[in-house]
Amino acid sequence: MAPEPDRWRAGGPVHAWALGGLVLALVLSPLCRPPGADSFPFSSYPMFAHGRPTAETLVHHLLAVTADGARRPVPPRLVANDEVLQAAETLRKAIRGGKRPSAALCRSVAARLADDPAWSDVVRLELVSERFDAIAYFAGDTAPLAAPRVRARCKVKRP
Amino acid sequence: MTPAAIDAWYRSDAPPERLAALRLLVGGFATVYLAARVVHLISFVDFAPRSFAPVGVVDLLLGAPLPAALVVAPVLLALLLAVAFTLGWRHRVTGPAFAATLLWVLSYRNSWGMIFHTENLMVVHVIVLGLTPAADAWSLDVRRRPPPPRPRAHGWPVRLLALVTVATYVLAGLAKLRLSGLSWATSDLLRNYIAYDNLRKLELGDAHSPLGAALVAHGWLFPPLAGASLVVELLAPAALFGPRLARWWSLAAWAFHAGVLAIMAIFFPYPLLGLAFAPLFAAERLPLWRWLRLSPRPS
Repeated sequence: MAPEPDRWRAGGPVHAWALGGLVLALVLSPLCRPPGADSFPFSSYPMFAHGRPTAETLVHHLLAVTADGARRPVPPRLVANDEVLQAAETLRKAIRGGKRPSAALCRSVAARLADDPAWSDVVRLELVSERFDAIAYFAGDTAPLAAPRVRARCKVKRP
Repeated sequence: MTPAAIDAWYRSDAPPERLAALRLLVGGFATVYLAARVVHLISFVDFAPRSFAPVGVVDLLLGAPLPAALVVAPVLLALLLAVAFTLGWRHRVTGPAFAATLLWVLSYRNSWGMIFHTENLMVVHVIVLGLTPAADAWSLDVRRRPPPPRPRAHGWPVRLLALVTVATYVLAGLAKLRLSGLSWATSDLLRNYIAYDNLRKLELGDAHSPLGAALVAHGWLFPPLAGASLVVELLAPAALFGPRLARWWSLAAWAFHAGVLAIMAIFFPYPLLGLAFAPLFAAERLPLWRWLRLSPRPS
């Protein structure tokens, strides 16, 4: 058998057990936090763990409205970045913050959209909260469960 | 099991090429990942300060968002260090430096109210590889100066990487039991979640999974799917008991991620490309290394 390296050398037993113990303690540390607590990179991975007791779903979204009243959702990259969950969180936070943050977000997205020729037919944005039955939605019933709640409205100003 | 037996298992010998192969795989993935995500990683310079919700090391060190230059610079530095780490260039310095910079950059990216879970395992693997002698083979360091002999120095980092992989899956399984109990696998919790997730994506103007949207009409499908995913997560430690079990478990875990991609349009690249499971196998035997002329062709 090969001789044991010096205990304190890189790769030796002290290094192995100290680093291994520390890393595993950190990785398993979420077990000592309340269920659902999250951090990075040491996570309890709660993302799917809650599930959803009902199919009722509240969606906050920014809708682009054209001159003839047609509406379509503004995609995540114009709201926050290319991550849909980041966009959802940005919208949620603005709405939670109240009228001023909601209006500010609406205006900042409108300014981004004004520069994009793909959105040249859009005249205003609406930040809207809607409640759906998600199972019924995919069975064809896409109507919201109640009237949409408009949180902010802003015009798309073009030079 | 005696302490000596645990030590013998944990610090069992392995060729330095196995750890080097993992450095090349994980480092190569991290390099491509960072390069592909540069625009995303610097997008936070435009975010409203009120959205800042620091996590991890960012929470320890920052109380407010950084100025733009200090967001961009670490991203570019991480990219440069990723290349050095992958090539094994001055690993004693670039290994820890890359681990620290990657941890910082990705912690900052997760500090805006939404914690993603696609990068956690990669970061912890990079930390382990960066702090161990992972450049004692197939590296620029070896070309410059062959390393001193280090018996039993290359097996335990591979074991540690495998333990980290296994632990993350067990944690995910335990989270479901702690938050939802067994009803997670016996009720409509998963079905409702998949419907909710796809609807949200559709209404937010993003790509959703048409397959997931179609499947939610069939409620009977979801308790078995939820139960299977829970079993895969909780049985992850079985992968540590030999290559046969490692193969079966890795295949099952890979199938779980493929299912998540198919019915929720959520892409976990690190496990789907097999990198999460690579420490469970003799990674130095991949044909890729012969193709790259790192290992000799079999005679």
